[in-house]
Amino acid sequence: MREAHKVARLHAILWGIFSLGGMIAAFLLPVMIYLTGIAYPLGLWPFNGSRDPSFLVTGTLLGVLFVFVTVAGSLFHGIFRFQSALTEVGLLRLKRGLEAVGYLIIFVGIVLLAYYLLVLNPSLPAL
Amino acid sequence: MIREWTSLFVALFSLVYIYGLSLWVTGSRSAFLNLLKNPAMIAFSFIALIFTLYHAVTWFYLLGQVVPMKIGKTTSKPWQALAVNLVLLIVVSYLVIWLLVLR
Amino acid sequence: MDTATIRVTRYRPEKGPEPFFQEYKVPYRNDMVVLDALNYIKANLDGTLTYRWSCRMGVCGSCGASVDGTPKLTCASFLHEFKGRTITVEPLPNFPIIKDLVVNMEDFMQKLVKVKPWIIREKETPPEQGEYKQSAEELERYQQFSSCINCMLCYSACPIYGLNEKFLGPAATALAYRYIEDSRDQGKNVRFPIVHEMEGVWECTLVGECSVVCPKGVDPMLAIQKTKILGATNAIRSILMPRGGR
Repeated sequence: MREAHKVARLHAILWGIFSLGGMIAAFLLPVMIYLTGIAYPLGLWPFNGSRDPSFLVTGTLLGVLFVFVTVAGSLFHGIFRFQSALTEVGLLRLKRGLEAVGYLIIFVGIVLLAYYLLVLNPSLPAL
Repeated sequence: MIREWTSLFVALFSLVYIYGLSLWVTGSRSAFLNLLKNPAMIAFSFIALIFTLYHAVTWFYLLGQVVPMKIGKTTSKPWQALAVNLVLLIVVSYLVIWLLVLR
Repeated sequence: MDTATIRVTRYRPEKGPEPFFQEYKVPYRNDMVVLDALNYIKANLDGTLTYRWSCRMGVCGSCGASVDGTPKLTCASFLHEFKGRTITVEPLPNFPIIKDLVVNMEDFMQKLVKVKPWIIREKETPPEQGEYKQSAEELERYQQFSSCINCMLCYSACPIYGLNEKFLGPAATALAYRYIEDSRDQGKNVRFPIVHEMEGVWECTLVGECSVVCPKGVDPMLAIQKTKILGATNAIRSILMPRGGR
């Protein structure tokens, strides 16, 4: 019984993070996609003609924070929700297995993201 | 149903971004920039943006349903929450651009 | 005379292992509901047709069935609502069939009892001290969730319940939430573990069909979401303040 209680509590927290990720994806992801995937390659505002790759907004600590929060939160939310979608159509009957894959992707993704942004980041001024 | 599958694009964009970032930080900056300028990538970004906005709209409506605000005697309706949060989205987006690019 | 064709599921386990359809021609009037058609069949065409009904006005919750694929109260579904003149009536999905349109409600009944749908007090005050008073605002916080007529349409509409019978489900969770939000109730400690276990609210993936089919506007989807929020905040609180916070 204690075990079940712990699993349920863990799931409650995961759901809380998923909700937070939903907020992040709703408020921060649109501008991130716009800047990175549309405005920069097409030279639109605010990158009118400018091809300076500091657009990647990873040249400042604030920029790094923004990218990390946005991408990590969106990744968590997207994968969690997609797993729910699979459950609804009965595909997650293989549940534990597929669910573990999802969480693994999230974990690896976030670790790599932090590593790239904070350790390997060439545009970040030396701390 | 569509609402749930749009979440896939939210996750996919994040993964693609992390992949692109890995190209850049491991030395080949031009590879990342070329990835972004690839027409297929731009098309994917457009679709991802549309689906993310779809997520945002449905999310704000949901917030309006689950957490209605009481202002005096009236309780807010979901579409009102949607409208307010959309305005907030525009404000936050501009703030981000101003703080990180224009400044 | 205007007629309609009703295709009804028949299931006679003592006669054959599989359910089958049977068609009947009934008169078609603008003011007829599906229940009227079933009653006509039973009275005039085939007395063996078996189905549940009672109040015939949408308050008892007995007459739930799947009409043209959607869970509905047969007493609240007009024949003219449906396309064409052939209407298919099947038993409520996600429940075992006993006979014809009658389903086994045991699981549902157990879940209702499981959430302890009564006021739980830490300490009862003696009647001489008067009633537990409640303001209009306090009533409003749970009133819509007390409108449930136990018709089970929401369980039929829920794909998660269809996949996992252990899922607590919409009506039971709405009922639990009705008591959690009732200012007279002091039973959070008892009810939270029930709704916040894995098969409680966490199985719900927010399909939302439960609230769409609910004939009384209970909005169980909303109750489940609010219960999830309570669960998440509770879990975080129990980690940050393991002993305090009560």
